[in-house]
Amino acid sequence: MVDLRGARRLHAIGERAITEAVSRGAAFVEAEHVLLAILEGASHDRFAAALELERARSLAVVGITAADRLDATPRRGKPGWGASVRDLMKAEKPATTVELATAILRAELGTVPRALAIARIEPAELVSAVRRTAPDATTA
Amino acid sequence: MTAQPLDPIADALAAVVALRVFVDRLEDAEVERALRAGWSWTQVAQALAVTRQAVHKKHLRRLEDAGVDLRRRNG
Repeated sequence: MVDLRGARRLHAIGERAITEAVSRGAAFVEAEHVLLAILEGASHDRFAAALELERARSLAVVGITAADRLDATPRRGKPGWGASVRDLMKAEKPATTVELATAILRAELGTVPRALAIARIEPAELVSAVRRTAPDATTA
Repeated sequence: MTAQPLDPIADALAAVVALRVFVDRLEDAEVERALRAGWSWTQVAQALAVTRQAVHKKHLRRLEDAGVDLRRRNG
């Protein structure tokens, strides 16, 4: 269990991340769901679209191209925290929204950097977007 | 060794990650379809090569929520 309780704001991000994971049928809340929970407006939609491209590309590697046709009632249980989130919280101990987003966007391998590379999104663009919108971002 | 997020090895490993999610969603969708079509829990379990208890535990609550009529299933 990740300790997101230290800051109410991070806890709220965690709750939104769970919603993002459930809506995508994921059994675990991973870093990409936390980033979706942080991003707002156009940045959120752009990253969500990038994740879809990443998923399609990864499944196409093994010849699966019809994944979008799966239609199932979502599971009821709360998804657990995935390794990408647990490792990040343990290693980086982010205390603010910007620190959390920056830590996620620092990853060099995995779903988040793949999605960004496929959609040609610079991590710095998203960090800037979070700095503009996060309630706890400093104006400095 | 320099590893890039979209190199062939990363693509192959990402396929494993995407397949895990895909298999979960596929199971959810196909179990739901079978039960809506009138299959019993036992039949679904046999077809999936798992125990009836396992498939029941994993899917009962969400399918009850979805309004699938499960009360008359004996097996």
